[in-house]
Amino acid sequence: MGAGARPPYTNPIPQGLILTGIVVAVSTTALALSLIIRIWKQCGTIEADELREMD
Amino acid sequence: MVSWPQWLSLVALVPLVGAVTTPAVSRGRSRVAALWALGVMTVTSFAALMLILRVAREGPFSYPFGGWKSPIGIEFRFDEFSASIGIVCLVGWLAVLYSQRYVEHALEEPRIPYYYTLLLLNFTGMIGFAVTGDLFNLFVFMEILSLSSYALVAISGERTAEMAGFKYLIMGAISSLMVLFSIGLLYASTGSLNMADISSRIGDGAVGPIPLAMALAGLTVGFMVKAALFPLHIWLPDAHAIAPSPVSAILSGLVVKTGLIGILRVYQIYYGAKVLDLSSLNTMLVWLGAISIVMGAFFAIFQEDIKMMLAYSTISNIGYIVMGFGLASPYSVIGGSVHIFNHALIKATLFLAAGCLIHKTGYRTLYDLRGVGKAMPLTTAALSVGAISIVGIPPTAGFLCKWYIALGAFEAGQPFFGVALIFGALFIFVYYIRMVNSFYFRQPVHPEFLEVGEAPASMLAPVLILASLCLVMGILGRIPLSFIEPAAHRLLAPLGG
Repeated sequence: MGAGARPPYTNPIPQGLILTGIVVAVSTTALALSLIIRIWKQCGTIEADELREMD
Repeated sequence: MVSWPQWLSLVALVPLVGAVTTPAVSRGRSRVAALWALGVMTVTSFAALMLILRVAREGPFSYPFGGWKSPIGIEFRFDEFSASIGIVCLVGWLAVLYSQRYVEHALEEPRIPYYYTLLLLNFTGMIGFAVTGDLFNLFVFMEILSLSSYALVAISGERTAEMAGFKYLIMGAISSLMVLFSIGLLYASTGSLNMADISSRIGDGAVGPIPLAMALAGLTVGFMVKAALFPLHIWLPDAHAIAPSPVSAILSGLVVKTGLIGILRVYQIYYGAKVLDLSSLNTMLVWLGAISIVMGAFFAIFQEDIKMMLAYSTISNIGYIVMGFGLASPYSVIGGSVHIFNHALIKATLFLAAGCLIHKTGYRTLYDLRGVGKAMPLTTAALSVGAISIVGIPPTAGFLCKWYIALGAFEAGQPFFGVALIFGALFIFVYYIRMVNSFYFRQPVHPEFLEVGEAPASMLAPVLILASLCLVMGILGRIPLSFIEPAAHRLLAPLGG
């Protein structure tokens, strides 16, 4: 911390938490999207109704 | 050696580093990847063994990362409930050994090293979840575990597998968000992330009951989805039945238990704080547990697919454990905690044995598998031992825990649930009898598989080891019971029990 630093300071913990939360959410979204692409390639549709009929 | 403090950080770091280095080490050679994963799990198991020996001797202990003491730094805390990493290592090690031959057929060659990466990440998540003392760390490990599980369900690349994986992902992502919001709520109202610290800060009475109750609700529901407790179980049967068999064994035996460990951690925070009356939550959990037992067994009776049947049976068994926790008497909590361990053994036996049958014969319904007992006597015998254990017939591993949970129900003055438990066991007995009957006493529909013979040794050995452990743990059942006893008493002490 520099000599001129003066309170109020920002709490770094929530920022760390949010950043981690974003990373986790992005990875989950990436996995979900890649699964959707795979399902689309194999079934030719991503409509839930049509997919249910295939089962 | 035993009390070397670094074991506690190594037990989570070794599989993590092993996982990410697997593709680099193996460079596409599946055999090298399998050996590497096996080696990593051996080191991890050794570390876990040291930790369990130490907790048995000295009681709970913790490891502050970077020397920053809690509540400032992140700490790993190892207590008796964390000892569930022992079963993670045991079943994980055997599942890796089993995978070697199984995935040769089940997966495409280039995917195999990544399969081992995902498996090791999965173990990292479970181990980290069980040993961490920090609430946010808990969330991160839970996400490592969940993401790798979604991918493992979908890994075979078949249409149904990807659909099941996607369903699992949606349910899992919602539950993770609930857990994350609740952690945020607890942090906002207490200013701490260390679980023990949160508990004591709540106990000081500085926090109003509404945010606490909301956080409690979010955490409980989030972990209930992970544990697949009725009515939040809908993702489980597809995901567990369609995944490759070693993955099914891990998901059913171990991954759903993470949700239960999570519920135990929530209890540790809230019981200790003594600001909220948890009796209505307990009543709800006991009822949901009872409904899970009956519904899981009821649906299992109508299944023809053997793995689907086993998947529904997991819902029943989760019901037993949650009922044990909800009854909140020493006996039932001990029984429930030990059932986490025993059910992992039993369900891994069943899924791995079922995997052997499917691997060798290529069939998976009870009708097609009729008479398989003559073709693969050892595997079918192991499957029968597992079936007897899960029904809870003495002297097998399933008996003692169910007995303890029933005792707990009577102790808590709710004999109705003891009766429900026995009734559920009868239900479970019905469909396992159906399975054993079809394997041994019916004429084969597909006589050609009478020639196939047993599965290769690296697949048969894990099944037989687990099946014999099911019997051994029935006879030596007092060891885990007395091991977990101090933790259960410590958990319930604030209730005056």
